[in-house]
Amino acid sequence: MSTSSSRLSDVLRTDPTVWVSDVSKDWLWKAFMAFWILFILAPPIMLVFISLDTASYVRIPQGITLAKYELMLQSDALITAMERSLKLAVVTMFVAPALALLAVLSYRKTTYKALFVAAMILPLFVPGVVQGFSLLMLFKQIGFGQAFVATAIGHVIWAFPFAFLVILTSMSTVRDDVLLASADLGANEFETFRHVIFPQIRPGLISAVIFSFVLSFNEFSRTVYLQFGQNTIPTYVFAKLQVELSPEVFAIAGLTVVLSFVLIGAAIAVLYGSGSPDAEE
Amino acid sequence: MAHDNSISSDSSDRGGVDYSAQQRLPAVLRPLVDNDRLRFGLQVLPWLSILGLLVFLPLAAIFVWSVAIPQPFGFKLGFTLENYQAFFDSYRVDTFFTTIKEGVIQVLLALVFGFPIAYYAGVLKRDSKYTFPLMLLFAIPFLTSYILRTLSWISFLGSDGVFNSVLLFTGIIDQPLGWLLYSTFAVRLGMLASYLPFMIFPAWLAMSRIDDEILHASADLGGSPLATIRHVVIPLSIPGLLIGAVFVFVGVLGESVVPVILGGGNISLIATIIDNAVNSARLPLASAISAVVLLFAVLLLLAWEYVYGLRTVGEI
Repeated sequence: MSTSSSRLSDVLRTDPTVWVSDVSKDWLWKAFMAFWILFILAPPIMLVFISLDTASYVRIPQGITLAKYELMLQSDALITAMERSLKLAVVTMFVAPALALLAVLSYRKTTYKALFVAAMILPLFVPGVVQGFSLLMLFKQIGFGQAFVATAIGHVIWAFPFAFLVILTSMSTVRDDVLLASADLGANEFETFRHVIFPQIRPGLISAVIFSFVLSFNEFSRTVYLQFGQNTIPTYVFAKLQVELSPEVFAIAGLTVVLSFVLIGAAIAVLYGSGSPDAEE
Repeated sequence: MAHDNSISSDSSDRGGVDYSAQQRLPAVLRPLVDNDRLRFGLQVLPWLSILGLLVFLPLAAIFVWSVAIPQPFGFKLGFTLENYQAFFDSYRVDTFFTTIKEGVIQVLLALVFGFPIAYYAGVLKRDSKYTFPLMLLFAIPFLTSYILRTLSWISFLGSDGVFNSVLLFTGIIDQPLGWLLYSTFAVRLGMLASYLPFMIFPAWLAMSRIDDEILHASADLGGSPLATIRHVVIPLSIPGLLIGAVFVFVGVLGESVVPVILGGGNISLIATIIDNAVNSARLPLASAISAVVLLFAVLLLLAWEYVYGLRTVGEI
């Protein structure tokens, strides 16, 4: 008894965490977290309101009009860029997860698992500018000038490690003995994949597809080197910004934010919705 | 082939044991199952060739191009150090040092603010079912465009922006603060918003992997929360913090958007210098700068390998 109380007094003198009551500590923590979530979320959300604001310059939004969106629809360059961005995103959303799935399936068979993952995600440690520029130099050297394919390659390389990580995470729920059981029951590799692995990793695959789409749609630093003058939405916006803050840029920005949020929400719903029944059991 | 198929499926029905898994496949796919080497090739070659030929090869080739001889409107392969001279003997190298300084500042900011966020989610509220959805909010910067997020800061920092309006309205200031936008401050704020999640996620992951029992043991032994943080949480989450630090630093090394949009010419980082060199068709110079940046990133990874071993990336 006496030892514990003397220890308490020690703590009181040295440990500032006991100076505040638990209740107010809880509130401080909540305020702290709320601040940082606001810090992360407020800018994109603000963009949606600015795109609907009546003024053509940037201020606290005070009215609602679709004028900027009408301007956006009249801009041919913007429509072309939008089409290009969407095409690239669709290509990326199929190619990157497919490659990542093959890599994850190979991962099951390798003994050097930690090194394998390290090699897969090492490209994440290369600055985007350097990666984009090195690809540009490679294409210049071999005389390759197909802008769409070049950009698509850049996007796939960018989305691949993310797709790999998402699929790898969902693959970790597939147990080795289940695969063995499937083989023992006479299934070949394709049947095991089709009937055993695929149903379990489907949420991971779907979210990898969505993430790849969103990552490609928003990619800038590689695209800018590989597009050979054919703008996507991010590079168009950036080029426009260096000249002036034109209203239609805010419309496309607001639209992109809404699109990204909807897709992220969908990806989370797929991942979380499928995971929660297990968690409750 | 079709004949084979029917016989084998009959025999499997009779025997109860199915030896014919391979035969149920369409004929085109059968070699894939029979030939391990072919199957492995088709499974491994696609991503391995993309990683090898389109990621690692061009990065290695950067060093070859960096010593190429510049020509008007192009270059010729050869050996010269003049590209490196053009980098080291000019304002460009100062920009490189600025970039390193800003990188260190971002890492420190991310540590100071990211650590408590990760600690809250990974230690204090690790059992709450709201933690996961809450932390997913921090993933949003990964998935929305740099450009647009950065653009939106203008609406907060500008002279008609949110901060100035609120400060004016409450009477704290008489006239808009000019230094909020188009300044070093704005660039740091914009970069922090981009790179904080890169610290939060690895740190959170590392902390959520600390055993409950270790945390309880520390408390049972009389460790106060602060003592537990210092002697248990920090040492065990260092791999995560290191990964976060490298992510943040590498991000700043490649940052080409925030300084242009929010800096207003007050600050420029190395990515912009590479950009300018490419736009003025000085490709060998751009290669030389890229090589220096890449070498720096590699040195960081080697230092990490030296201290902790690179395999911690895989373990996280």
